[in-house]
Amino acid sequence: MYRINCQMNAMPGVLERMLRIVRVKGFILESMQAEQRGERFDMTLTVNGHGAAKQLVAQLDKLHDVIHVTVHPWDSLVNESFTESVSRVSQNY
Amino acid sequence: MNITGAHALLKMMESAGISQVFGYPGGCIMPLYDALPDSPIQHYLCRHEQACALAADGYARASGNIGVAIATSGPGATNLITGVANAAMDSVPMLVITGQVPAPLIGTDAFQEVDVLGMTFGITKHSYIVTRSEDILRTVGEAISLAQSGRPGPVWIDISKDALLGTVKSSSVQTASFEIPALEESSQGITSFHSSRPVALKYHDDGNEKTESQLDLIQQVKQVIGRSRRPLLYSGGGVSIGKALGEYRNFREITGIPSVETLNGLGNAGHDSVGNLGLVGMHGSRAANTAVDECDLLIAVGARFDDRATGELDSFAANATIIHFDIDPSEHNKLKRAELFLSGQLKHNLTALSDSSLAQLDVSVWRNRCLSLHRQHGFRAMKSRKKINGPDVLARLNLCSTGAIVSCDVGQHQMWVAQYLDFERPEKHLSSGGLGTMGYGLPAAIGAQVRFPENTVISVCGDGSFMMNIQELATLKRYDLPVKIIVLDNAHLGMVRQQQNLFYQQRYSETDLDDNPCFSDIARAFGIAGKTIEDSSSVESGLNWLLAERGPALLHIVIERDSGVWPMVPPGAPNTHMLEGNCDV
Repeated sequence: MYRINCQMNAMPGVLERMLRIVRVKGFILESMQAEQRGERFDMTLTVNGHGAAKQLVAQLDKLHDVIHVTVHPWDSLVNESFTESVSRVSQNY
Repeated sequence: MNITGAHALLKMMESAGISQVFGYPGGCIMPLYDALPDSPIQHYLCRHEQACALAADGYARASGNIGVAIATSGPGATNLITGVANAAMDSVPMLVITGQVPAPLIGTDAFQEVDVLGMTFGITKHSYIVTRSEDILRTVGEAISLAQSGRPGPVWIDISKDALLGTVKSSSVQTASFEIPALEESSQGITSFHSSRPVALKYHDDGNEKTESQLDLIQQVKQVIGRSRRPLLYSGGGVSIGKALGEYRNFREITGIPSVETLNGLGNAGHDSVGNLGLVGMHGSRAANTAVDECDLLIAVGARFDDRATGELDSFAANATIIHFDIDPSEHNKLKRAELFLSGQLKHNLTALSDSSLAQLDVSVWRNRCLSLHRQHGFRAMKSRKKINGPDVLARLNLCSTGAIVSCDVGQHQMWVAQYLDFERPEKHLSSGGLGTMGYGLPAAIGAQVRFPENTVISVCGDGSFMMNIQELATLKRYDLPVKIIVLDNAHLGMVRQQQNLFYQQRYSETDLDDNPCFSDIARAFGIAGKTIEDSSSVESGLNWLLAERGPALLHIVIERDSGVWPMVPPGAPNTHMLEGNCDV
């Protein structure tokens, strides 16, 4: 299980685009919270699945309206030992 | 002074260097068609919206310029879908414009209303809905930039009719400007759009400036290559899309590393290139697939480990370390784990690698092994006897079509094109690689011929595929586009039949096309020269006739019904499990 935090431009269809990627990459949505803040949209998803979390992050980051995305394995929310974010992924390239 | 949203849209396209578009009018896009005669942009009317999108795709692949497709709402938009998905799968830059019902009617199930934005999510790089005239300029500018930046793809703008009819200040068109940097291998490269709201282009690589970590990565790549005894280049469509053909060839030449190519990478090495083993994968040569199996280092260059190329994934290059170059970071470890991954512009990364240190590479033993594989296990077309053999036609066409742009449909003939034609550049080969769109060939050839009127453009079609966009013969006639069509007619859906023979116990369900029309008669009905040949002694004269025709022409070649595509790797099997068939199917 993973928690995904995502900041996006509040443009038409942006939530659908994000949820489509989650589905296509083999994850199931457990819960979702979204709030519009001016021109931005903040969204927190909890997803379950056996797919690669890095792949999910990389695919979400490709969306034009996604500004920043991070994914946290569920376990790390307790011990805070792991956070996979776009910035960290980018360092590898 | 005010102008309509439709005029502003066209002005914006003009300032981005767009001069030719493909489209089909209808109710909600009529304001744009009303403005079109006032614009220098040339519009080509195809006879089905799918063909508009596929023509825009062919135009873009052949030239590197953005292709443009226009259609109306509802069925116009739904008909575009296949062509746009085709472009998305092969990373082709495209701008798609559709009219939408007036904003107050959206959501009311109005006549010819469909949720276009919702349809586009899975088949575009990005998409927009515009319902206010004042948003048109910014959106069009952003879309054109986005379609061509990073990993290119189709970007779709759905514009409500009232927004096209509404007005914007003409001065706002002038304040929006494009900067088109000159690139060596294209008249139009990546476009930057400057407006009050700059576009954030993801994966943008400014140039040769490399950060310390990137330089470190380059050094690591050099070390890994230096340690390898059996390195192999595996290149794909990303080389031409990234306008890195010169850099790729230079790297090949400096290092002497042998190579294989994916379907969309054919032509990367150039047809005279020694050490290139050609097509890899399901219908690749035994030479290419064996080399991948034996290499100890696979350098993937603008290739995405597609299942048709890799076969069963775990056994693909199972003994090799993998280095992967791709502009799209999401390709990193998507399918195959890479020790080193380099994103950013391919041409810059290859340039950084191509210095003297790799010139000392000693791969002569391995290179000789690959040359030997190529001699022993390259493609060999079986000669026709009385009946005409499909591969033999392509082998003969190869001798008389140097320099031509060749498009094809999807099926057996597509693989024969890939196996038996030599391409001097990848842009000369237009093939639907990712989506596998039957009916691609003729519209794609139209797009290429519009862009390059002086070039010979040949469309090699199968009898099944040709029927899917046969109406485009009317487009050829209307614009007198001298496309040369070859229809290889085996009166079957040959590729499906081949698999029915091999894997479905010869149960030939719905693959018999014995009732095909005479395709040369059909061509003549459209006012296009046509000829049918059935005897192998007529192939050479038939091809000579076709290529000598001044205008559009069609050569209908009735071929043996039982020719197969060989070798063939069964779907999901390792590439080393090639079925060889001089056996009939």
